[in-house]
Amino acid sequence: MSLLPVSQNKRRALIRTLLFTLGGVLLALVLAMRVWDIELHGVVIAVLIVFCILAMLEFTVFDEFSKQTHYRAWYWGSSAGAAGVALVQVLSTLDVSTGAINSFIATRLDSVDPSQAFLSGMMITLLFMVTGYVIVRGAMWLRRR
Amino acid sequence: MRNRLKVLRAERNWSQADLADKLDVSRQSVNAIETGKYDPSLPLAFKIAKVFGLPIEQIFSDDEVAQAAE
Repeated sequence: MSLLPVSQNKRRALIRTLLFTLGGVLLALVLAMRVWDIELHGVVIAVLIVFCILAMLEFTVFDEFSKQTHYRAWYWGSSAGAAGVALVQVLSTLDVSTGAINSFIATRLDSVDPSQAFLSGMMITLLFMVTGYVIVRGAMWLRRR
Repeated sequence: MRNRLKVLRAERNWSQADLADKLDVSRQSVNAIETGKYDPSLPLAFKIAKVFGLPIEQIFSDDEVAQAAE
């Protein structure tokens, strides 16, 4: 027997409430780590794992319209984000942008080791894609209102 | 695709939220279907027909067929 409510709407509301609550807890934990310098990495990772599981569970209770919205936003938004990353890469090889982009990157990566730079690159790509997703999803939401 | 969802809902005095509860979908889904921004899947269309107690073709119609009838 499932612990979740039978109604898909109620399941969605429950999971969403839990996600918001955990999001708040995560934010509070990160702030506590920053402000009071408390060692909470283990707790943050545990909460983050539960958050990810709930986020996956949320997708299973989306109705068909929400799923389609999500697909479309992810396709267009994240594709545009990935294209943005590719554009920056191409621009950085051109002479015209060498002064701007390359010096910007060089000042930030000058003292960073390659593995750190690689991880930063991965996160920046992800950031571009998620930003694209949020913009498209927001635009779709505004248009539907 | 055209539909008479808004009219049928109004006849029964149901809000979008009421219909969403009966269909077990979000209110945004009902709104998107009503405004023609989203065409429901066959299972959802059958569910809508069942909720209103009508055949699907009395709720949904093809754009071209509807235009020809007008």
